[in-house]
Amino acid sequence: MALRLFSRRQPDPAAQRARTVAKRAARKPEPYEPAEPLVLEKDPLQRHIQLERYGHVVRNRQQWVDHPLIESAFQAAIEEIDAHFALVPEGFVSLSQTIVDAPGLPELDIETDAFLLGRTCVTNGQFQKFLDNGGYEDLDLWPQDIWPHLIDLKDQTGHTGPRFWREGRHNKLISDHPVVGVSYYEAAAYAKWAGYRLPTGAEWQMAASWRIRSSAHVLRRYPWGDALDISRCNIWASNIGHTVPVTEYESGAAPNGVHQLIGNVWEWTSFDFTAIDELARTVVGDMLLKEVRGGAFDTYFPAQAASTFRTGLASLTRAHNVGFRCVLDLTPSDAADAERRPE
Amino acid sequence: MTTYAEAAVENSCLICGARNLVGAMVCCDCQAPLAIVHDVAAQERDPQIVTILGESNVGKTVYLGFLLDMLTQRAADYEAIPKGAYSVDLQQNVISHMARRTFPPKTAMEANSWYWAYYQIYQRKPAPKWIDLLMPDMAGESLAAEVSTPNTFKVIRSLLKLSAGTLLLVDAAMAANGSTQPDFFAVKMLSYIDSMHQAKRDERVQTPTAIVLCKADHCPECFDHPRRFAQANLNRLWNLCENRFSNVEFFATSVVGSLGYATAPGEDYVTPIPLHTALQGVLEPFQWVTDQL
Amino acid sequence: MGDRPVVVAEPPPLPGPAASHAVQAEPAPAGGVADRPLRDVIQCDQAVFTSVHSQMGEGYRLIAISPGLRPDEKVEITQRSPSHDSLCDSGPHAVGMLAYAMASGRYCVAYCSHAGREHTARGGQRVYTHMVLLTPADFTAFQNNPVRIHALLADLVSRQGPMLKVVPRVERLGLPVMKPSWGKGCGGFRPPASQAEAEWIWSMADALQSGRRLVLAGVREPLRLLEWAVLCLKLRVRRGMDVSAGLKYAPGRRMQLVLLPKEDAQTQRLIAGQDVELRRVGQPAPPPLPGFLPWANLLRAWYAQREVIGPR
Repeated sequence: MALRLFSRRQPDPAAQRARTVAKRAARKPEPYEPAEPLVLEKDPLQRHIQLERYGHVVRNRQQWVDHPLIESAFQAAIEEIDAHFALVPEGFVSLSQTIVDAPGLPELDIETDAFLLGRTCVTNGQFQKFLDNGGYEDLDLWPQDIWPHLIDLKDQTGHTGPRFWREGRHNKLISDHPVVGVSYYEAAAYAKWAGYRLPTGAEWQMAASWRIRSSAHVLRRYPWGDALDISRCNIWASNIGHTVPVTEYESGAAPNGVHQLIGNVWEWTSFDFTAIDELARTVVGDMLLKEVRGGAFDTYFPAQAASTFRTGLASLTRAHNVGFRCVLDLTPSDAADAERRPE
Repeated sequence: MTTYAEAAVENSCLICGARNLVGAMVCCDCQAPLAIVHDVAAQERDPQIVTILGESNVGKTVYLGFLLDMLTQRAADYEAIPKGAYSVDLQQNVISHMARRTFPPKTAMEANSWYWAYYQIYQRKPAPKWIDLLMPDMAGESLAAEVSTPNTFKVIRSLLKLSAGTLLLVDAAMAANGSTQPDFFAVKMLSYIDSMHQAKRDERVQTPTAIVLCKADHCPECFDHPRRFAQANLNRLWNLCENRFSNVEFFATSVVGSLGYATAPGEDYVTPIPLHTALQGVLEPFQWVTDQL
Repeated sequence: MGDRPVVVAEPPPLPGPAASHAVQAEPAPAGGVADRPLRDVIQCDQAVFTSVHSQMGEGYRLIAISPGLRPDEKVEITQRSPSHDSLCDSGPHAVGMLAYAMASGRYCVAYCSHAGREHTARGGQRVYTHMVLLTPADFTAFQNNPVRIHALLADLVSRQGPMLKVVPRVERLGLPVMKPSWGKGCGGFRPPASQAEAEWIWSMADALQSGRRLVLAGVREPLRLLEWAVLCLKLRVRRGMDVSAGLKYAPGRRMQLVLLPKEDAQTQRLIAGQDVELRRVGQPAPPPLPGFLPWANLLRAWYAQREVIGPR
């Protein structure tokens, strides 16, 4: 006698249809309130401060030498930089060259100079200022080979802007969340507009692993130490499921106060992603891969959110879980050095 | 009775009903693990079968492996307990490969090599309930062969007849690139299910069927409007669902955050590399199906 | 052994230069097949089962068939052919054999090998199966010896390469009929290497003769031993045997005799409680059933004579 233990409740078609309709009705869109447009200052120097282009003000001080407010503006910019950036001391990192992480596999050692790193990722509110100031129309901010793609950088309603915005406005309910839905080029354009740049992969890893030069050979798997602690970061295991404000998880900050290097959103870096597999074959993508770091709220494997984990993403990807933060060089020449990757 | 046979006792397979000898570990007919019989007998609830369907290389193994692993880690409102060590093999296989940035090996057509997962799942919300689920990971080619010629693999027919819910995985990336292959396979699969139910023309199949658009990271618009995407890119499937299935929902899912390719000069193949994971929409189709049970 | 008079074959010739050209006087089965004129080439239906990507589908399936294949035969081939990771040896030069009597009455002999990497690059090799289907009359032209036919298929694939694209229709395959000789299918005449090996050959033949299902693990030269076992059998018994060599055990293939290079836990699990006997080469072979004794004594006597006459 065959066992027939599988039971199927006799379906009630009407009840099923009612449940389905109810669920579709209940699946309301998330609350959205468009951010109000900013009333911009008339004075261009004050406008730069208002738009948080502090790096731009500091770098171009000479351009404003005759402006009556230059000293106060410059002082304000310095104070804001001090508040929003943290010093990462010089150090060195070892970048894994293979896609699998195991002892004995080839690594590239890079020394990093000291630099200033944004304490938080760039937020929706900050990026709004870039868009409102004509950042997408200023071709000087974009590489020439990307110009034909600018027309594709639209939001949900077909307006210019990050992918998940509407009518060129961000949701002001998440104004302090990291901006996502931006490609590498949008991130780089913002950084350039604000007078900053994107960190290199080595700089990012230096900030997260805190491998400073000292008699104690310190290399942290995470900014707070070596053990994963889901109360200090927003990854899949933290069971949040979406981004959080950039100032949360203070306990997960690096020693210099840089927040959320691990989790919340992946972060674009300026490095191209290059790697080989265990058979020494080159790993490539459909298009240029740029290196992203840090993991995001949906990163399932904690090891992929560690300070040394390298991965790549197609440069034009506008993903829901990728943002960025900026670097300000201590001296102008540092910018050129940082872009050069040592042999 | 041969020299090597022992007396036949009541040891019937839950899937196909075949009688098996004492000590048999897999069914002599369909090769389902007979440990399921013993595990089910020890429970107070009758298990329900949820079948994961899809053509070869659509990602059934990866999807099911991550789903089970997420459930065992108390994802969302669920808590899952595997029954029997064999139930953990699939998620272990998938997770161990994906953590090392490789895809798990292909699922062979031979039914004895399929993974079977038997889980007790506790759903905390909206109303606490226990569900026992049996979810086999079948080879896409076996499904294709069965759909093409029914009864080629009787175990598949038996499973689908017993199935309380279905997740049909469809390659959204291929569909977005203009290929009609995913659409045609999905139509064949659902037509097969429809014909199995032998419903009259004005009756529709009521088994909860989740159409899961896989690899949606290649076409992000899938996540924004899965129904609209299906209507635009899988129109044959869409029409069949509208006409013949009364309990269908569309979902988009993605496991891989970024895909690379390993290649060497002179090689005529590339190896896809899952560079990192970014789980999206894995639980939702399962949640919807279990809500209907 | 049977209630019909059996024509006892002459013992195989002794090893030496003449052996490879010796004509074996095969026992003539009742029914008049021996009256058919010898043919040089036999045309038979062929098919290829492997994994390719095409516009119509993906993965393992029949990608080439000759027009004589019936629908029920296609189904049976799909059910019983090996797919991913089915060969015992994972290396690129692995080879296997599958031979079985089909429900349609024809006999299928398949050559299995690896043909490059699995095309979706998820690891492992692509399993390639090239098979021919023979009517009983055609099979008899090859002395009902699947190992010989397997050798012809191996030669074909080696010369022409595997067929890795979908071919909607292929012509029937012409197989040359060789003059019967010993061990042509396995690289020349090589007798059993030891008394123990000869005992295992008799054990295999006994299992096939009596209809028992046997998995034999630890076999190092499966095709050679299999051919020896086949040659111990009557023609009509050979027509109904289902055997595989070099392929992992899979219950769905419904093989009567499975030869494996080594034993593994998965095989033990699959055959547990299944009325399948698992034996290991190296352990003493079970004694043959009494009905087989005359054959065993005949072959043992020949073997003893060889030992007396000279070196192997």
